[in-house]
Amino acid sequence: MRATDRDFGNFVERHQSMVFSIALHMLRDWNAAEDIAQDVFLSLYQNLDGIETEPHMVSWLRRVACQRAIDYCRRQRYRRHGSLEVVPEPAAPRQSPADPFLNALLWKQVSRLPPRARAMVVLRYQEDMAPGEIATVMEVPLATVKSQLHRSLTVLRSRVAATKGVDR
Amino acid sequence: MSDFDERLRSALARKQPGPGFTGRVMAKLPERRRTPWRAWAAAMAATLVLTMGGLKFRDERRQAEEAKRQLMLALEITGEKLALVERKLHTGRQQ
Repeated sequence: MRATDRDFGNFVERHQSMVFSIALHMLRDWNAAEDIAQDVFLSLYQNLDGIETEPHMVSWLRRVACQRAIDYCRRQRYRRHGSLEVVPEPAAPRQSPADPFLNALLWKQVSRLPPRARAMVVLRYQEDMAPGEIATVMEVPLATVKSQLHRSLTVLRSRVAATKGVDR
Repeated sequence: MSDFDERLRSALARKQPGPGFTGRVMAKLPERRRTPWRAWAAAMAATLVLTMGGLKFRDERRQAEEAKRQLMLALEITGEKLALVERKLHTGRQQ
């Protein structure tokens, strides 16, 4: 795909919320999410010649954003010498107006899932992707996606239900 | 789609990065991949500025040389007039 800087600027405008939100929902850290999103777009710019169509580019952006976010989570985990369960909570997210308390709670619980499972949940519910599409983007078998999503949702339901006064 | 799915969808709705995100990305693009027209325009602008500057300098120098030539001529004429007056005074004194 040959693109001028102006075309590329338009790509960034169109897809920045997708890439940024994948990173943000994975990390719950606004600054780290912006850094990762910028890095993903710079990588895209350097790999434009290998990208043929815009749908291909969207798929590429989702895959690379997930990979970078998963790598970041793993680096953070090793740095802190602990599992995600004991990682201190990051700064409070900027909440959407719908149901701020419940949204924050769900987001927090999603962030406690292991990185790969978290990426699948983000692609499923943020990007509204079918399990087959998630399997393609994440380069894992469809059965793995289905079982991982099922397990993640069970965990999320039980954790939210266990939180007093939220999910009755 | 269950109520829980809808809640998750709402919690994980897309969000926008901070203002100026695209600009920050564009500012970090590697120079070598940038389209050549910008470099071309910058080179043309630099050439134009240098040419205009050079022409202006040459024009000012020519004006300065002309002023200098006129001043030298004026001094020469003044010197000749003074010499003539001096000669006349000297001749008058002798008579």
